[in-house]
Amino acid sequence: MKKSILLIVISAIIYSSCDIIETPYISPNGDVEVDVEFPELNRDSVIRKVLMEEFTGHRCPNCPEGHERLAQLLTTYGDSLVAVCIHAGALANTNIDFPYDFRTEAGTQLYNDFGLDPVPIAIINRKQYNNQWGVELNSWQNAIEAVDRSEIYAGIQLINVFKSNENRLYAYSKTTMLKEYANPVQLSLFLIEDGIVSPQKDGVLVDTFYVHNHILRLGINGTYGSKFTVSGIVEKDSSYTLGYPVDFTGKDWDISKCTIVAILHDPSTREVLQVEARKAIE
Amino acid sequence: MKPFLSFGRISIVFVFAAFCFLNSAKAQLFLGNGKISGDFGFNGMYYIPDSLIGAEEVAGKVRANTFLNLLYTNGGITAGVRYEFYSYPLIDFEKIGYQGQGLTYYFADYKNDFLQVTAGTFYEQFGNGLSFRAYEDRQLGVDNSLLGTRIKVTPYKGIVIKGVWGIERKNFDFDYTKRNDYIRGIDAEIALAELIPGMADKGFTTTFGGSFVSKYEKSTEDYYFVIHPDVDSLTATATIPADKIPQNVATWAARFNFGYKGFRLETEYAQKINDPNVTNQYIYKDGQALFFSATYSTKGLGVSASFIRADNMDFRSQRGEKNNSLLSINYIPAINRQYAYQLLGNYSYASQPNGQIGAQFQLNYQIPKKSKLGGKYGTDITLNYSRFHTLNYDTVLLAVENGTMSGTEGYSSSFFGCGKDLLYQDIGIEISRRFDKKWKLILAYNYIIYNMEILQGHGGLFHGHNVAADLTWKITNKHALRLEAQHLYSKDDLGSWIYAMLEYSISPRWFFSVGDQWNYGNAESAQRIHYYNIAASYIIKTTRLSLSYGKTREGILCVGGVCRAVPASNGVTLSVTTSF
Repeated sequence: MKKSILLIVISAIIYSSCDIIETPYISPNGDVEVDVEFPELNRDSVIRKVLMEEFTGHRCPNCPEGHERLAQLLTTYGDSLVAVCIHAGALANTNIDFPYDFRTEAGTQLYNDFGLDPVPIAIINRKQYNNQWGVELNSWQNAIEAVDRSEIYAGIQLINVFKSNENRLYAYSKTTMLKEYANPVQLSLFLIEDGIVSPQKDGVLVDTFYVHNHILRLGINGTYGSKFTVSGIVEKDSSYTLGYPVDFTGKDWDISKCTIVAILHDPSTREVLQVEARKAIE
Repeated sequence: MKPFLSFGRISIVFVFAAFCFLNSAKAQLFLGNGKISGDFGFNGMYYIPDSLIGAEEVAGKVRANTFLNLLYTNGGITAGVRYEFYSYPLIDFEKIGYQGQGLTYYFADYKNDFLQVTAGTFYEQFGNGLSFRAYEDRQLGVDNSLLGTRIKVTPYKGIVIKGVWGIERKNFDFDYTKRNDYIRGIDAEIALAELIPGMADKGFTTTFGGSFVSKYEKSTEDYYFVIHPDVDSLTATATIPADKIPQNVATWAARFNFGYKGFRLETEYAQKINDPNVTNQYIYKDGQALFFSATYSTKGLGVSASFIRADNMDFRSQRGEKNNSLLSINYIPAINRQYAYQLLGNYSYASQPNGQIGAQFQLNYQIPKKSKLGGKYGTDITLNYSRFHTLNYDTVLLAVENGTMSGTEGYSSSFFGCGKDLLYQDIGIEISRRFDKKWKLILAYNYIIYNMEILQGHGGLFHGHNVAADLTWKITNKHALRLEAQHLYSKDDLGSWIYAMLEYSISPRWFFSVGDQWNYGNAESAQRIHYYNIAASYIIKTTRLSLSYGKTREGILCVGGVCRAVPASNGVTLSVTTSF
């Protein structure tokens, strides 16, 4: 009897330790034909832009200081700095005072994958600074300066088309490799939004009408994006196009305040090779 | 990131360590009825940039790997701890992400005749490792230990059941609160010779074993990828939804070993269920591995034949990991003959868990002592041949239509069919002869073919003829001189090399050596570089001090078929190892 029970328990453990997946495994997203024409890339005008992902939380008392610092940096660096604000971690949780949920799957995954500590903290170009992924507020500018901008790996062009009859935004990108690059690369497209009014802790106070900018809304093609080729290897002077639909149905996103951010990165080193941003509607 | 160790914890370790060293005059430190033993290692290097060989300037200039192991044993109780300081490690280790510091290994273990339980960090292997192997190789920077629990039960003599449950180490990322993966496994082995009286006395050994290992990894993220990637104007994408990515992936294995006197047979078969991951391009095909080895040895003669086939068996704690053997759960052994020859080191075969089929044959024969050919001490001859291929596979129709294998069964493969790509071939002969009490000579020849494109990601097929000689002259009981000379002839890759090393030892304390690797056959005359090395070692009791200066070429380092890249370097190395 005891042996039978033991066998049943072992069988149950083994059975529950296997997830046999039935076909079909994939959900085609539908072919998105890139029916827009990208202009010829002016290679001389391409600069290496820097991605700054600021991790924040609406219940974080020091985060408004971080947002202020980010705004100063954007004034200093202009459009050569692309900012994405990511609500993640315990201070991004909702409660009765902070009911709006800014968190996203992509943002939470980045926060976890980079092993970040209390916000505000930023990752600059997904490259370590002083042996740390997360850079504290006082060192943000130093970390931006540490990016080698003479290494211009690629140029990214973006075209966004919003089809109001479908309530869909079509985000098209064309990436042209300007240098040899040995490792596989991926392109991820983020949707971010400015001008969201929602409570924010500020020191000991709560600012009920705080304006949140550069807020990550969606990792359009996941957190880390898509490869251009099966292997992910790209060739110098070759161009690669990607197109994704973003369905606005049932979302409270304001298309006029949205921006698409394209991030070309090396998944093996995590480093961002190029980043580009373009308003959803211009 | 929050440091894994507080200053207080680190202090405790250092105080403990210092206490042990203060007492190191004694061979072992005794605490009550228990005893403490351990070992310490420091391997540091001062880096000197050398643009000719590609040795970059290293931040900090001086780097070192340091560790201390302490083990406390008292009857059936054992406890151990290891501290590693790799915050500014040797550049090889920094490049593979093995960087950080902390208490990397700590456990308590209780053992009696029936039961053994371990809590904390541990290493373990089931069978040949096809389903599970948690191990450490310090040289490679591999540490796949598990943090969790292990139970071993011996209900009858000859029957052992093991269970493991834990989270696998990922370099120095010790914040396990953010980990969404863990491993559980069970293994049972029956040794018939121990169960059946008299069987061992008749020279039989027979064991049966089986294991089941499963990993859990949370799946929250859809996997996006491009289909029809070669069609320029059209971008089509597809998604593997998170609920179609298995969170529980299992491998089972069965093994059988048989021995009778000089004959021994070992075999193990393993199968893995659907495990889409980055190393297999997210395909759903089952994985399979078969290992077989037969050996026969008698006085003066030994023959062995081994076979391995591995198909889609890269099995890791995290499906997005692909670097080296980081987070590997299992181990697909390399069955080819392993060499210590310097010049063949850069063309060592790396086991291919996702696709390889191959065999190795070896014959060892000793020409009898005091015969005309064998001489006074006999002459040992070793012949070996090994060959490994990719698998013979057909891409499934859906993968052909989509232009990518992702999200499909991937391919089908015939079990014993060889693919068209040769991975590695080695034909070798080694002759070893002692002439008298003073002189010994080893001569070896190998012809190897090595697929650089698949095994290293660049280049084509490498063909090389390597001749090696190892001559030892025992001048007196204490003094000896050893000359090692090798010549690798090739028209491929970097061309031909020559190597010589002279080692002088004064037993048992001192070793001195001087050596040079010269790439004299490089097609570019500026790249005909000398990689010289000079070294001295001093041994006192269980402590070894070693100081060397030299250049190391860029290449690979492999141990048992597991490899890592080695960057070019130039500088002074100091190493200290001791055990107590």
